[in-house]
Amino acid sequence: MSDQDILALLKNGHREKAFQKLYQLYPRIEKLILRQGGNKADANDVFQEALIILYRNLQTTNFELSSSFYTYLYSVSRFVWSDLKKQISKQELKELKTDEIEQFQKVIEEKKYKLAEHAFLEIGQRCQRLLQLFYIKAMSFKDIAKDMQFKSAKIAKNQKYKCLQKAKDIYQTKSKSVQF
Amino acid sequence: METYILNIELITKYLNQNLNPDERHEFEARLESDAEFNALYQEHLIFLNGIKRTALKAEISKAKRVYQTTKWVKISGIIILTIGVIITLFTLINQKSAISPNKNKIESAIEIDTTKVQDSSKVSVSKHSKIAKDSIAITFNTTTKIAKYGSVISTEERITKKSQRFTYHQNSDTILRCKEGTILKLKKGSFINATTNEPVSGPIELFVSEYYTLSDILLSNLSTISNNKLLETGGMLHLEARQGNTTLALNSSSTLEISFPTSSLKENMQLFEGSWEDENINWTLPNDGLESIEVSDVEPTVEVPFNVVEISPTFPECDHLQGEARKKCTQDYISRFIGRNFDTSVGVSEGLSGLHRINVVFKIDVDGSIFFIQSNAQYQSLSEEANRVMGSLPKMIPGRQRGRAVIVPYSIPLRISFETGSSNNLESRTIDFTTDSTSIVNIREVIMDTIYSESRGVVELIREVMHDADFIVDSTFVAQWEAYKKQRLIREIDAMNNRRFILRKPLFEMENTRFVILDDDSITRGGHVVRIPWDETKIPTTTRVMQLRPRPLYAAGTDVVTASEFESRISDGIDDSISTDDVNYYVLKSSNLGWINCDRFINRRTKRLKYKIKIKNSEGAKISMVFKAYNAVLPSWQRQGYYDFQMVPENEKVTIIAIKRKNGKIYFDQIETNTNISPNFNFNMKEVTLSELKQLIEFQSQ
Repeated sequence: MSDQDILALLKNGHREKAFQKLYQLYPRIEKLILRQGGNKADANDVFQEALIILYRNLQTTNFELSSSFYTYLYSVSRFVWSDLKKQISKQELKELKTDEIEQFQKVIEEKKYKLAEHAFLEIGQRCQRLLQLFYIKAMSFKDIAKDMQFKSAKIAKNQKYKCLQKAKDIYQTKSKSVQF
Repeated sequence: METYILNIELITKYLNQNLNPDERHEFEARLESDAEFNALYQEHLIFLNGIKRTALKAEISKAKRVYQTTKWVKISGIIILTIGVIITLFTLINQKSAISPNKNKIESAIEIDTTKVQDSSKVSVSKHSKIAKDSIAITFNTTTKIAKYGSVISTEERITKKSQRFTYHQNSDTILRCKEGTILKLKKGSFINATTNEPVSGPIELFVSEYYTLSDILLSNLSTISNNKLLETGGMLHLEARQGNTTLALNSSSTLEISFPTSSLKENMQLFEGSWEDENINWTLPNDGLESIEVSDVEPTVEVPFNVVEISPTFPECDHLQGEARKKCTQDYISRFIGRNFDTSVGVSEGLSGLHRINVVFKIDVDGSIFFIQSNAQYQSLSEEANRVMGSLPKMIPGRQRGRAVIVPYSIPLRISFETGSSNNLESRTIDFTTDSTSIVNIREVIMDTIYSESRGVVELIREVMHDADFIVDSTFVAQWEAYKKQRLIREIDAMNNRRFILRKPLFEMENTRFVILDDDSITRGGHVVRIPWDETKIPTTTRVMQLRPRPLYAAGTDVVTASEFESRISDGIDDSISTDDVNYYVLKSSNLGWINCDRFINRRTKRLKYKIKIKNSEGAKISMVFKAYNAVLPSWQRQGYYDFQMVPENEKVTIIAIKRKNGKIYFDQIETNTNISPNFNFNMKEVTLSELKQLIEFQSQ
């Protein structure tokens, strides 16, 4: 399956199928990470991160696949790994090409999201589910109340804000301790 | 809080594009002007993306699982396919090789395997007590246990021959017939507990390993030497009796009869017992060696009278003659020999006079030696002298009947007349010979078994000391010899196995002395001679000791039969398949368990030489020498880079066999050679399987 086909799959919302195809590139990325001193678990995390970044990029309308998925994922994975290991020097940063700078920024950006994700994962199962139903499934409070057995949509709505506030508080304390 | 909720609601609406254009403008303007609102907006965006990540991650890991599953399905599919292809190829190749000339190899390999499972051995049971006739139940199975005997090929692992296991109750006499034809006759109650000496009851297990083929002997690293003398083997046995975990021994008053199957019967075969010395087995004659030989079942060697035999036995001088002329020549030679050697003084000293008759009977053996000398005379001294003269007859060429060497009995009536008053006068002696057919003594056929053994007497001793194999020893000289010994003129010293004779000065200074100082003698200051006698091999003995024993009789039902009749009854009655007429049996008695061998010494007049070989790449291989002609195996001793065979007969056709076991693999090589000066060999050891090895060695036996 060519890159264009995968691209089409992604744009048409068949994310899972596209990810499956992209996973065929995983062994090569794994080699890279292993070569750079990581283990298999690291390689797994890095590749996952690279896929997420790729996906987010595709969501932005002006994204064009300049080369193959492999080169893109390879490049991103390299940044993810270097960043993770804090191996990237200022000298290297200065020498980056434009598209590479963009990729690097995305990696840094993604770190914020990752932190937000961690904060989200700390707020308890019920809160998580409530937020997921609202923001990802885009369900109405009425439906959410029904699904999660709240007495009314109003209560669900109130509950949602409380959960959100809680998560954001955790995020803020976390982000203070982490310097971007 | 209310403003916060409102703000979030507004942001959500904006992101979901639920605002109208005016509201949108207002929102975007507010983002630019209101920093706090902007921060909230950014934060919310980050947060939404964070939540999105959870969903993405779930999808990715799901995709990963699917990817991995399909990958494994693919890999296992490929593996299954490859295995399938290999199996197909393998069966195809196998079918091909089944048609190829290798067929024999494969079949025999299979044969070897199957013998392990088959009940191919037969057990025949016979009860020969007169009272009871009920049958005895004998359970039999081949054992898979590898016993402690059987021995090593090289240093590490043992290749053993599987022993057969017989289980029986010893409340009656039992006969066991083993796989390869050995027959064991066990008397009832003959086994006792080895430690407590208590009699045992209940079933007894008897383990029997048979070694009859050269390959079995070689593979089990058994050798055929007895105190460094080479033996020709008729087969070996290992017996072990057990009851559960207790080792049993034979009751000292009981015997175990063993019949060895053999297709080539050899005279003089005796029963040897083996014990392991280092890694080689040493065979020794049991102390009651003579007792143990019983040649009862031996196909009697044919005796053909002298005047009947097709080719008469003779001396080398007469060998060119045929028929009657040959006989005449032989007779004349014997007559002359007696005339020259008979010492009439023995009669004179006893004061004999007149005509005396001596009937002399002897036999010429299949190897040409003289035995069974019997003289009959009125006076003891005369028959003794006749015996002595006949005993000193040189070795003859044996008589032959139908191309086979046979024993030829020979008789001479001697007539000696002594004239009074003419002592020591050789001229006065008249000796007359007749060899007509009527005078041939017919020895009455008795059911007796003859046991022969060689013994070395004073004649051989004198020849050893004299360093002369043909030194003429007569009774006079023997008498003198004994006298010299009494006078301490001859003394034997035997220090540290270093046999020496001290011959004192007067012996050499006597008138007409037969003592001569030899080159390698050492002479003491007093002029006495210290002499190392020749070893036994240089002086072959011609003296035979013979014993007659009545042939044992056995009860078979109501009949009294000899062993051979008895044998045939078992064969006919119970197991027809075994009764091969051409197989002969020695019946041997043994009072011991363990290693038993049916052997004879290889005593030949051939020169012997020290034989050692140097093998560069031996690496701990086991090297043995196989004498094909004798079924004999000589092991080597490895020392200082040499494989030493010690003394071997010269110019003998042998095969040198090297077997090595290393890392669980067997290596083999063989070199055919003649025993001459110690050579250097280079073995080229090749890896073989056990069955291949067996075949290679089996080839030796043919």
